[in-house]
Amino acid sequence: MADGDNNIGELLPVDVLIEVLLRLPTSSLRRFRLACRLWRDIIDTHTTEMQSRPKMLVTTVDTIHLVEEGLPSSRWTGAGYDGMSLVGTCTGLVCMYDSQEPNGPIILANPVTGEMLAISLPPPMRHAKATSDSRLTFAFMYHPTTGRYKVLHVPYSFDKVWLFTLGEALWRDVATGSPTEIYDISKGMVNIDGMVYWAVKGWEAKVVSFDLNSEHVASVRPLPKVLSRHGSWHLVEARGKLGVAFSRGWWTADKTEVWVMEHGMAGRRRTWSHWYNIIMEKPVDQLAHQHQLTLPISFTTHDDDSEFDDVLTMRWDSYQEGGRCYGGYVSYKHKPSNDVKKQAKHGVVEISERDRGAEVAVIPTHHIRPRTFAYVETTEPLSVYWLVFGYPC
Amino acid sequence: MATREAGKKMIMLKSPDGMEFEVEEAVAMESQTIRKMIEDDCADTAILIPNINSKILSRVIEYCNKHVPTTGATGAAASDTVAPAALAEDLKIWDAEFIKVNRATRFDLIQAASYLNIKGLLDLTSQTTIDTISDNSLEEIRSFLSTKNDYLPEEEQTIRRENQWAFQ
Repeated sequence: MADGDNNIGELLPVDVLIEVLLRLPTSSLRRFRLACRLWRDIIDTHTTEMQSRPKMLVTTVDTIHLVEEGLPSSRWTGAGYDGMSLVGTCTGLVCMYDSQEPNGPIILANPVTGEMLAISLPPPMRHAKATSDSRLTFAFMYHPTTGRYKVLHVPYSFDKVWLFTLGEALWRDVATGSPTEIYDISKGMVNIDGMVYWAVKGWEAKVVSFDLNSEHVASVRPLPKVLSRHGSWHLVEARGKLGVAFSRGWWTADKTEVWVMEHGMAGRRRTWSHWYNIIMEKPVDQLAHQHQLTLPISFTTHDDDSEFDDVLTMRWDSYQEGGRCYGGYVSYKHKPSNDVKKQAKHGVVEISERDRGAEVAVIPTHHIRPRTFAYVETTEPLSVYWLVFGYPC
Repeated sequence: MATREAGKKMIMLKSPDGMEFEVEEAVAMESQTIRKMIEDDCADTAILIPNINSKILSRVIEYCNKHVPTTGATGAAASDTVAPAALAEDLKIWDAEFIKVNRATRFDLIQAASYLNIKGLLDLTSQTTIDTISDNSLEEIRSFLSTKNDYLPEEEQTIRRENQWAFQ
């Protein structure tokens, strides 16, 4: 703090202090909310930003789709976003990757203000051939206490990860401290509260994390026991926590169990708890339906009173339009019901041909592995970084 | 200098430490608080300004004196159109010089500007303070606010999450 400018809180009455601090830019207010309860309440009651509701962005290899409640999903075609894939969203900024363009770059943009900023690719990617999965090797993060934005890159084969801090000039590498490992892209990368999680290939299930605070790569232990069984799984985020969705096919149905990592109140012990069961009844005539596993993609609570969350699932489907057949992902919303077997603590979703759930979005694509992100419109500035590094687009 | 009418009405401002300041009514009315008192006929000849010592009050009056011609006697907004650009530039330089005070004085001026409701002075003093803090880390912010973190770990996580996407 320059010129010993601390302890204003002792020198000014709270009402005067409020007048002063409400002149702060929103990016700073965001950090003041974290100071204590009093300041969170003051900022929330004196500003209107907390009222905006997030929209969902679904991204494929080369498109971004906007999903808003009550509206048909639409292609998100902001200026210059065509052909781009989304890497992440933070505080109204979006981070995009262009897999068509051999040498990137990575674009940061604020769709509201129209500001855009380009970042060069991390060193390992500069001479490598980009594939449709390259986009899945990035995460876009916001560090809540310092207010810095960072982009993380995990190469397919890695003994270090790469980190770019917005406002600095170069990518930095961070050694994992382990021998070279292979990133298992099919299981996804999840970014929660300054922690990024991804899976590593091997005989046994393994998930590693990158902590934005300490900049350490560590193995997540323990993992839920269910992962030692035979089946497929991927990482998910459930109400701000890390989860795994483990799926197995049976004769009459596919079953997915979602396990979520919880922290014990005392200490840092992690436990895994069984939150949801998703049961997808198989059609009688399997040949007529190219059957695809239904994947859970998001779990959200809309109001604090509701006992159960909304569960969003996505399944690949084909549909007819104007006499032609198209393929794409269809997203459905479900309300879980109480688990009579008392296994899944947050409920069971049963999907059948009769009851598929409420259709939320249709994402036309022939690519696999769409990703979803929550997005709110803000006026968070990007131009401040032009002076420091990089170049405006 | 802008022309002023002769025979201006004078007002006496008294600080709690017993000092008296005789100022033109128009200057005193830069303060919306004093303006209200005058308009409501609460002010006879002398107005006691509680909580603001003579040192700070004299600085406040100095500020109002300088700013009264551009703001005009009729008040607050819509003033900048009256002042020529050169005059505004001159005021800016004067303000920058005026605010070169130590931290304690600046905080006293903020409080005085807030109590007396002088928007220009509050903007100036607040902005100067803001410029020194907007880039600080969370721990510095807590010490700056003289506050202790009273969040439960679980709660703090939720706030951080809200900050990520739901807060502008």
